[in-house]
Amino acid sequence: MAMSKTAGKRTWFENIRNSPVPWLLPLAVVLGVTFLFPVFEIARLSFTDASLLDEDYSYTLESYLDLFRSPYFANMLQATALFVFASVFLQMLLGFLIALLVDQGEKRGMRTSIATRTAVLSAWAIPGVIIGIIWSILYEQSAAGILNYVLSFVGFGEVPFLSDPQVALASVTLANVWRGTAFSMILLYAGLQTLPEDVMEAAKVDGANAWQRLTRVMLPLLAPMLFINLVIVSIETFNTFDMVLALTGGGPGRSTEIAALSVYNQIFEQFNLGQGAATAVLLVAVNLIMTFVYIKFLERNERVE
Amino acid sequence: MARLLKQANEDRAPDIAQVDSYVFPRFYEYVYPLDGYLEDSGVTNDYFPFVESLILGDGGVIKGLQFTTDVRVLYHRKDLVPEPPASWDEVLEVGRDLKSEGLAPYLFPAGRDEATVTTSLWPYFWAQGGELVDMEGNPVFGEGENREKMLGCLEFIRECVASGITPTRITTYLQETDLNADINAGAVGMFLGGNWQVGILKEVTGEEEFTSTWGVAPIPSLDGGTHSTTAGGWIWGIFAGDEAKKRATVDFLLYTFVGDRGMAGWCNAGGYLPPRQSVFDLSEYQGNEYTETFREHLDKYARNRPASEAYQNISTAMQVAVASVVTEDASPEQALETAVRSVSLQRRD
Repeated sequence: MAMSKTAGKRTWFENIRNSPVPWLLPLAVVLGVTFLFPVFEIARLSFTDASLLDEDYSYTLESYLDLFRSPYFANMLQATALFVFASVFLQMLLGFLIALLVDQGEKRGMRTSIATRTAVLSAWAIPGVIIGIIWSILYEQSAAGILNYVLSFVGFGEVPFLSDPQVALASVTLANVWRGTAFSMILLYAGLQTLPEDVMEAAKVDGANAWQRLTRVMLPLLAPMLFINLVIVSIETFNTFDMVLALTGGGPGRSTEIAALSVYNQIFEQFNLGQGAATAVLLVAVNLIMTFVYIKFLERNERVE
Repeated sequence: MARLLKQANEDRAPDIAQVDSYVFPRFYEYVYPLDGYLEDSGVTNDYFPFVESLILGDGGVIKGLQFTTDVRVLYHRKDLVPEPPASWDEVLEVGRDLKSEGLAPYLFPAGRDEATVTTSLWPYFWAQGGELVDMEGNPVFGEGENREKMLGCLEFIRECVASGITPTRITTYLQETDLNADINAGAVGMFLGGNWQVGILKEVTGEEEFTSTWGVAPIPSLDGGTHSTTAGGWIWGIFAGDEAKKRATVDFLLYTFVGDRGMAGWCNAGGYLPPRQSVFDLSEYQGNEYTETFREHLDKYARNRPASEAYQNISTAMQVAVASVVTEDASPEQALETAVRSVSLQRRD
């Protein structure tokens, strides 16, 4: 009996020792406390009428109903969709073009490619708030405005960069593209480095011109990297708010109030914790869907390989 | 302020804290009354009437010590507009004349920030006798006569833009000081701003240049006879219950911020206006060429924003309404309707 008890203990201890659970437990605790708990809290608060100014609240669906009934909700969705779609498309397009130029430059022995990469990356390294301030100086509409001053030389009148609702959204998107292109460039540049030289050479030998090599060989080979880039940049753009806050604060009116900025404004400007949390939950849901697609794609990709 | 209110609610507030003056009534139940202390100190209780309405709780008990204030006014170019416009019609008339001189005739903040309402909207509205909330703090700015008055304000703002005397770029001005670049460039005829801009603009344009160029007048109103403006400032509240601590903090505050020399020195250093009337007459208080006018406006026209919980939603909704009207995104009626709907959806009953 004593022998079997000892053996039983050893088995239990060895099971634990050989299990990954003890190793993963600290990480799980950290993730639970710093990530899952806040997400749970946001979800819980979204079902309340909580305010930052009052500790009393009650559970209700009104936060969601008010959000959907809000006269600004459709505008927020539209602004967010336009901002994300245009930002992602342009960031990927420009990122790819710059990556291609740098890659080709390197292959031709151009020494400035490192300087180009560094210059593009510096835009990515600058904090969003600073970028917002820099672009607000550029977009300034008074006599001190830099872009308007330059445009006046080529016959343009005063461009309402930040005071016209439609133009303001385009201006904010342009600033975001300037900021985010570097990330796409680096990711796609890394992708270009992994393209098999022999396949590209074979296409050339077979008589494919530059456009055919790009569209029929290079892009299909880069597809996994492009897809990963698409998902990451989309999530990042959905969550952008610091740059927009510094650049327009969501104005004029609410024309540039994208979803993430709306969460901030509702909670910290209007102290409306319940409705802000409901908007945040919508944002989290969009991000989760994007992440799910990303993981599914990676899994499928791994199976193919 | 939200965090401090939460701390006070949970009995975790610091012993003393500065509170934005218009929200101070929401701290009444957490701060300790100071009546006996002020009488002992010899400090004259000669606060402006609008300050008294903030610092006196039920039964006239002193709840806090206001130590700074500020006021919004109309600045006008003395050479171009020797007689500042008093009514909205006069603004439009003078503005059209200035426009022909190639200036931006009439500027004011209209971005997504508090200045848009405190400087560019509430004074118009209050001068007509409009009220944002009722006695219980419920929003009434979109009901009955208030609605008509608010609509009139938005229509006037729209008219300023439509007539070309106000450019749409005002939607990029979040603060009053955002107008400084235009003013400094000599491109402005009149603007709505705050008393605190005098110091900055004097530094940039030169003291003599500024004072010889710019005059100050009440913010124009619908009829030109009754005026109103928004006052701000900060109040010290005492949360420490311990008698010795309370005595020590009051002594410190009276010496540094609220007593004659303390208030004069503090207002000199920060460019604020004193909320106590007698401080204006002290030799220690320096002021500037406009101080007497600011004092008169504080005495005659100044009002506080309501301390109601609904105020923040009203403010945000009307900031959006003003910008929508300026950019022609909505008519004044649509903009006001949207604001009223938005505020009513966010009410917590």
